[in-house]
Amino acid sequence: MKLPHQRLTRRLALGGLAATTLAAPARAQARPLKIGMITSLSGPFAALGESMRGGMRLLLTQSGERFADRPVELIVEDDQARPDDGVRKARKLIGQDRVDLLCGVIHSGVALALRDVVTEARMPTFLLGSANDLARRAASPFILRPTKTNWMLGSTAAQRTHQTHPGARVVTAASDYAAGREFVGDFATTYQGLGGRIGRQFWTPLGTPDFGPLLTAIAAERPDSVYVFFAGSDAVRFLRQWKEYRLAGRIRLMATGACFDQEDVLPAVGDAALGGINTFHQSPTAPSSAAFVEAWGATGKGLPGEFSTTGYVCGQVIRTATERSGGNPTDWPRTQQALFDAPVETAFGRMPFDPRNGQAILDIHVNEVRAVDGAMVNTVVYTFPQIRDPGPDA
Amino acid sequence: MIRVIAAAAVVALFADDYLLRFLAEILLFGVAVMSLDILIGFGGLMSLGHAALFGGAAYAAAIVARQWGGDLVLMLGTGMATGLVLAAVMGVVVLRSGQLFLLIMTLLLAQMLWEVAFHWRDVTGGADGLRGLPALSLGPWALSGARALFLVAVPLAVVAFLVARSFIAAPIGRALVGTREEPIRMTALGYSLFAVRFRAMMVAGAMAGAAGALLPFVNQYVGPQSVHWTLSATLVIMLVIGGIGSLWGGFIGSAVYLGIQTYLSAYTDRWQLLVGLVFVLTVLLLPNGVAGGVRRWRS
Amino acid sequence: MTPILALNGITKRFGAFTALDDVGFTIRPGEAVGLIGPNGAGKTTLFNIITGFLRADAGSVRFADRTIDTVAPARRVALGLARTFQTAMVFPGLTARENIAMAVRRRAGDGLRWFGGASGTDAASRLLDDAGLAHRADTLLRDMSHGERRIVDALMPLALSPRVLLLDEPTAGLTRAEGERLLDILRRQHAGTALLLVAHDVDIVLGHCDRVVVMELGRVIRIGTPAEVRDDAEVRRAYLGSPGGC
Repeated sequence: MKLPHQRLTRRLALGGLAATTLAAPARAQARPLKIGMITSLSGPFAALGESMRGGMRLLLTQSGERFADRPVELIVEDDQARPDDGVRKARKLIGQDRVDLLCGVIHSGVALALRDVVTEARMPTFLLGSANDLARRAASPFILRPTKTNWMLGSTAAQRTHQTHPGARVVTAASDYAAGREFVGDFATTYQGLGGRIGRQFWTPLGTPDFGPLLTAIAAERPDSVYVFFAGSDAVRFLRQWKEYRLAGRIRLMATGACFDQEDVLPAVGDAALGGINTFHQSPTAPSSAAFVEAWGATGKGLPGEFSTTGYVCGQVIRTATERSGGNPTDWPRTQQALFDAPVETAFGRMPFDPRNGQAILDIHVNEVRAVDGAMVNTVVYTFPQIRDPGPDA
Repeated sequence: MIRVIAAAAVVALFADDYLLRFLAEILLFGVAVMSLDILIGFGGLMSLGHAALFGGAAYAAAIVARQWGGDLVLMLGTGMATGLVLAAVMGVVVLRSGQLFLLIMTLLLAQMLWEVAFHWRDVTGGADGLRGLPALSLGPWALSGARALFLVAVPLAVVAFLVARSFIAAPIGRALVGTREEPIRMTALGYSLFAVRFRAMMVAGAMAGAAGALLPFVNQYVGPQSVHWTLSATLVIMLVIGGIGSLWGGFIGSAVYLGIQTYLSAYTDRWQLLVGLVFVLTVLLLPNGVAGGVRRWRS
Repeated sequence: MTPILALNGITKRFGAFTALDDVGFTIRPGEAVGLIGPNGAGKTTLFNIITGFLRADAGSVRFADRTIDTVAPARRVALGLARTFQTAMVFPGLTARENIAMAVRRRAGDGLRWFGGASGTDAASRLLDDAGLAHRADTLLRDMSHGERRIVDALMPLALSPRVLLLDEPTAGLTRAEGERLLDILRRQHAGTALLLVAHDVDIVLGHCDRVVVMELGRVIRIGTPAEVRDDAEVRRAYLGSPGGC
């Protein structure tokens, strides 16, 4: 898996280890497991990146900084949400820091850019980011993905709408970029496949300062339901104006979970989000994440959102990989097989991996934003169990 | 020259992949900065659109490679042709106006190319860029990996330097400097300022294009950042640090900038602050850049 | 003999200010014509119009029987019309030989060449020899005296072998001896080139020119031989007689 001289070093290390063990039957002395994490610590996703790092750190602390009795060293690098910088940092972690494993990224563009780099370097990578291609054309034998794809959320939202409001006419609105196009596209395709009706489809540029004209146009359409995709500050602005324009409570609003993120969006919009429905792989009220939610809350950071949970889960998967491979996760064929053979228990629930593309199979929850003790909380009202991305056959 | 080749051979044999790729990147950027030096340092043409030539060629090469493979001759040819065409367009639009307009117009034209790269998803991959590039090859031999890339970048840099030097020493190069120093005099001697500057633009474009063609193979990826105006500004910063008007200073400047970016960003997120500091110090203490400082120290 | 340069009715206004009013005269091939007049007479403006750096509001410029009003400055040079400027526009970082070679190459059509072609240094050396500056051929212009710089400045357009050379105050800042020497070089070694010469030193003009054109406030007030002009009452009043009349 590694470059020749690295393999040589490992052999020497293991040989030395064996010698030491024979010579003195002391406790196991293991070389630290170096994990490189690439996330966005500056730029538009800075807060999300901090959450991701926080989640991973919490898992490490809980594990006593050891996986399978091997000390763990975490090196975190900032990709500034830019693919070029992400690639540069990946090369540095691989070539200079010589990490054993890579994980991270928030921005799908960075994830896609990393795909070839980690594959060529044969670096086992736990790659996040949610573009559909990551589970399809951009899958790689060296990449495992313990997170969702956009399709999983878009298609389940359509299924839910069909469940609860069959025959509803749905209008969509989204930020006009790759993620937005995927979410809305998957929603529309699935919904129409189920016999539903899609009305007008609205697109706005990323970073729209005023959603007034959009909201007026939506209201004029008189839809039964609206499905939107906005993230970050766009989501905050949209929800606030959704309330200002008195559409809240009058038209059923559905979105992807990022639009109602527990950490990133809800605290900023308050009751403007009340009643909003979203499909997400993460929820603070999901039973599987109860322990994590409590631990996270104990650090004083309130209820966790997507990225703190994802960081934590990523750590859980890497820990399990280390345990199942006998402390040697860089023996990749063996580790990969061990992860395909049996699911991993994570804060996202039971997580099997699809052997075709290394993509996690996840429970997708339907959250409704409810008021709980005065705070807005994503509350699970339904769960689609073990959703599998269509993958390379899509 | 022998020393350069010998040094390159030693490095190629003993350096690890990470260092080789890093050095290759320095060389490619160095060529781009050198071609910018022809415009700014010798022609007095302040361009903030050079990323369009460098990055535009990168995109062209990546698109062609995905279709027809990464043959080295095809890549260099595509890159140079793209650089020439883009430089010609830029030249025709920009070279008839005064200095301030030149700055703004090159910036605008380059940003127009960025818009195309960012929005034309079907061809350029949009915001996600292009990946899944085949390896470089030359005829039947594969040139994949960092070592091969380095061994291609070195002769490219050497040839580019010799070409640039030859251009500057030739009558056209002297005329270019003349148009910078005394444009009215040059007109009064019968030189067409446009004709002189346009030729310089074309040469700079072909040179930046050749280097740009290999850029996607450094990271097996090309994205809109490669044609963004901030890269144009970065090239200018590299030029100032290295030494305007020195040609070879371009390599120094790119090494300093990329070195700080790569090695310092491990310790602090504020590496750009250090680049800024180096830039300001260079302007204050070494007005002719590191190259100028070396020259002075030698004499 | 057809004039090599013919100006007719040249008028130029800058807003309400009339810089040139119906200016006309001719220059014959090989002739040296002096152009004198007090400051503000419009001499430099006229130069700029003749060489194409300015467009006249009315009137025409004919060069060798061809109207050149719409021809660009660089093109006029190619036709054979060259000039100097009030300040010496030389390349300070180049040697004297290199300065002149820039013009020689242009003359040979090699100005934009990359490979091959003439370097122009031989012809440049010859010109410097003729001007008595052979020993300074490798000196940088910034290291030369003002007088030497003026000579190189005049030799540059001369290297183009122009048919008409317009000289704008070529002797400014020179001693009388240096000025005489420059005029000598121009008239003696380049007899085929017609000259239109503006000079502060009236004696130089009267001494070296075949004819003199006198201007005042944008108008031509007298054209004649040096002797005729010197004796003209109006010229005296306007220019020669007034104290410090330059």
